[in-house]
Amino acid sequence: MSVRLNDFLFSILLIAVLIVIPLLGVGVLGLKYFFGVIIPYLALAVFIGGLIYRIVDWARSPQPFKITTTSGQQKSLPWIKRSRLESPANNLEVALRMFFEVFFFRSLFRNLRADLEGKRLLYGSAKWLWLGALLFHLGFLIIILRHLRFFVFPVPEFVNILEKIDGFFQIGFPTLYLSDLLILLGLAFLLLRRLFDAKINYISYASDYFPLLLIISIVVTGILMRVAIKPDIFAIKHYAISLATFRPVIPEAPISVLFYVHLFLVSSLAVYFPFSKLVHMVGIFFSPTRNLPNDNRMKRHVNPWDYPVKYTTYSEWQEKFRDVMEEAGIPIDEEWGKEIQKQA
Amino acid sequence: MYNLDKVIPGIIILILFLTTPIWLNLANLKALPPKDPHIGQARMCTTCHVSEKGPDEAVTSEKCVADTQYMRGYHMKLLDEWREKKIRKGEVYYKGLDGKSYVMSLQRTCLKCHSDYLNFCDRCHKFTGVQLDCFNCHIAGKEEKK
Ligand code: HEM
Repeated sequence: MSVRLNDFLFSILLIAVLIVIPLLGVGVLGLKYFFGVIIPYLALAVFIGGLIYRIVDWARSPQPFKITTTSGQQKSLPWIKRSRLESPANNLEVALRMFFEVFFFRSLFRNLRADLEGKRLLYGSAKWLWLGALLFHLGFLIIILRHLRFFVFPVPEFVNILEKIDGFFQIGFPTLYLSDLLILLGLAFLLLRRLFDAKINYISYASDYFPLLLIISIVVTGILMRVAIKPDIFAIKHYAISLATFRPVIPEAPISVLFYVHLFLVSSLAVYFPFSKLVHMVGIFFSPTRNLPNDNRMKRHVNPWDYPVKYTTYSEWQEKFRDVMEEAGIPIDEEWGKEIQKQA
Repeated sequence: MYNLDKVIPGIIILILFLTTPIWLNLANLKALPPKDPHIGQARMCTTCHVSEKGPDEAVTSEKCVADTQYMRGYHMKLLDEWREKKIRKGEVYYKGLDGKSYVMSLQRTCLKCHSDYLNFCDRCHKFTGVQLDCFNCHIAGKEEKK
């Protein structure tokens, strides 16, 4: 089976363009203010505005049915053992399940693989996706929290502690951050999986490759700065704080153009985020299969679309056709007949 | 919109999370250190370094083992290299920028001039949150940390 490469190559091309833009813009044209202040602010505005737009859009969508995904015994009679996480019966249990989902990707842990052995379809356990995804997401979170050291003065103590733990083994110099290593491992796995697993390759598009490649290039430019290029961190911190306090200043001290590439890629990610699959960051909380308790048999769920429908009851129908029915010898239900007279 | 009782707090938490650097800084706006780590320090530096343009100009680096620009970015690499050469290979001298030989020693060479931990190392390191453990073993000079 041949590998579909077009979407992958197209994404590479896009990334190359995103790298060349700041290289030319800052390196050749010297547009530091544009790439250092205007673009990041715009990106932040689009990011937050876009996320809120998506949230409002989801919050406006009615939920006609309760469609909780369950994989455990629901709450019923007191002597039947139930599963609180697999079939949450109230909002607290929903929140608990959501917590484990968000922080530990519990449902991915159930991921299966399907293989054909001759004519037989075999299912097996497949934890690699769970592991790769977890490495990537946790690595990303730790890196972002560590980056607070650029934006906040004085550096919060928890950032210092995080940094110590992350560099605990003091491998190499400057010390290797474990989160950098783990995020690269995770990202590499997630990318190679799309390229070389035929079943996944077949359903992978540019919208899958592009975000992976974008994040990979952000991480790689970051690591390059740390181990090789050594931009002026002192100047960068002054600049980053000036952004965070809305008094933007581009430092006079020269800052490596690689920093502007890093920054432009991050800005691109921020702009792309709300309008792509990455928005699952907030989307997960709006998934009706996850955010509803499975209490169908305890509480009536009223479809918000419901409106008063005009319908005809049997007794009304019977009244209407009484004569014809009597003529034809069809039995009349007098109880209902009385009912309708009472109402009238 | 539906479920406003949950959606509105959700939006607020999201915005608070995304704007962490903005509100964490609010309390400390005034306390920011000066832009150039060398301002106010020049007088001290000129006791070793020779500056042609007077005390408040960036110091030239005639007396250091390498030039200022290089040292700012790469001093940690240099120190790492020195440790490697001296401790593991037994070499003693390092040929500096000015052609002179310097003893590869943090305490006996670097700290001769850069003896003021709080006003030298810590000025940048504290600000940028780069933690160093040189002085867990070495003696940090006159104003030793904590
Ligand atoms: C999606 C957001 C970002 C990601 C995933 C990211 C990723 C990384 C990574 C993996 C590194 C390598 C070193 C480390 O792990 O600390 C790094 C370094 C760096 N990043 Fe970012 N970064 C992001 C946003 C930013 C932003 C907004 C800035 C602007 C101030 C920035 C400035 C830097 C600098 C200056 C370094 C060099 C650190 C050093 O030399 O010690 N990054 N980044």
